[in-house]
Amino acid sequence: MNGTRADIGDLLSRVALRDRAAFRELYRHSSAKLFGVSLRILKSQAEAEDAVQDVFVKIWQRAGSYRPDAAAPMTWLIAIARNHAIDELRRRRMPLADLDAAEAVADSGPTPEQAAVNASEGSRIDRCLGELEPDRAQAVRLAYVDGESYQDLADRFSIPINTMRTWLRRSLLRLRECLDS
Amino acid sequence: MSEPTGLTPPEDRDVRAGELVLGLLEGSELDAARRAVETDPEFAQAVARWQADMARFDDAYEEVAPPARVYEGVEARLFATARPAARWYDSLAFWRASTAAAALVAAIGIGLYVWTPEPAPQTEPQRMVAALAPTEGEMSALAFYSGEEDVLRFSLTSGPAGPDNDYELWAIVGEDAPVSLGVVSPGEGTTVALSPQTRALLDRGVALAVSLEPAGGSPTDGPTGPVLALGTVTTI
Repeated sequence: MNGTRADIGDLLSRVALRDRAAFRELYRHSSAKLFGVSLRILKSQAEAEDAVQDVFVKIWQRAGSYRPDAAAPMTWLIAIARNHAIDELRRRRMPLADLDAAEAVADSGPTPEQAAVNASEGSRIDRCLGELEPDRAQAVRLAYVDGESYQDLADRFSIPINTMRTWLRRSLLRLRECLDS
Repeated sequence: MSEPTGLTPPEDRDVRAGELVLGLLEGSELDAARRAVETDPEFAQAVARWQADMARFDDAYEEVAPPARVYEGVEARLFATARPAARWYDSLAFWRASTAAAALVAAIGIGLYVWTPEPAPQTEPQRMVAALAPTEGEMSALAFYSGEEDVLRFSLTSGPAGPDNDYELWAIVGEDAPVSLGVVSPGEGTTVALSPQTRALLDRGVALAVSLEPAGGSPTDGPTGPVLALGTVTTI
């Protein structure tokens, strides 16, 4: 299902030229991942379907602005999907009942990312995350992967929002230092 | 908001860029950071570094195939609804009429100007047209190239290729082996992107053909399925 970096990059440049066959091909190679992103963040099938549709409309419109030197093509596509889903999430501000349901989803069973983390301990970001306190490392991942806001994270860890903000900003500083070393 | 205090400006930039990538900024802070990505190259670079470093987290996203209605919705929104119809070759009526009159158009290519609502400028870039007639079945197609756009406008009158197949367009120069111009879909006024190599092939007398191929196009360098429509390029 996953196209190689070169494939996706090539398809993106053809999409920039308004090549609809390439667009369909790009959809075929990347929609499952981008739908996975939308589902994970929005925790709703119907909203994720709408979101991924919006995302592919954006991809068609913005393919020309993709810069291969700034990001790997799949990273760029996932960033569009994440940003869109997080924007949607912030816009709607989930009612409490849904929030509980979402946490049940998020907390259920062994998560695939846990397996992925275990599988590649050589990765720099994993090593540097490992140098943070476990709850702070978890907060960083929850923000990225699930799109949790400062407020969500403060509630989850039962600390004031300003403390959470300090936690995360300090964690980012330490991560940057570690990643650059 | 400003803690941890005592950050140097580069540190503050990195932290803010990291917050943006994590999705933690909201409201005016988010707006300001998104503007900074466009206007401040150093900030944009800090964002790109975080994005590359954190791309590792993307492994957490499971692949889930969306239902078919999602792509149908995308196509409907992008390609089917209220097309601006600003240009004559985008009009459905043009393609229908042209395809019906395909043989005639090929014979007197100059007749195409009849369909142009605006007078052709004096220094008109090169324009080419090819009408593809069915070789088996009922497929017909019309291809139009204009140097000013440098894309091939393509109209294919046919049913869908089926779930396991695609149609592929080929250029055949003289006795040479066919060269693929890419996979094409049924419909009016679709676009085939050209590379400098394939662009160079297009000229008067070159044959264009559509073949039936496995999904994604021919697995080899040449057509593997039956040729369904064939025609010759005429300059106009």
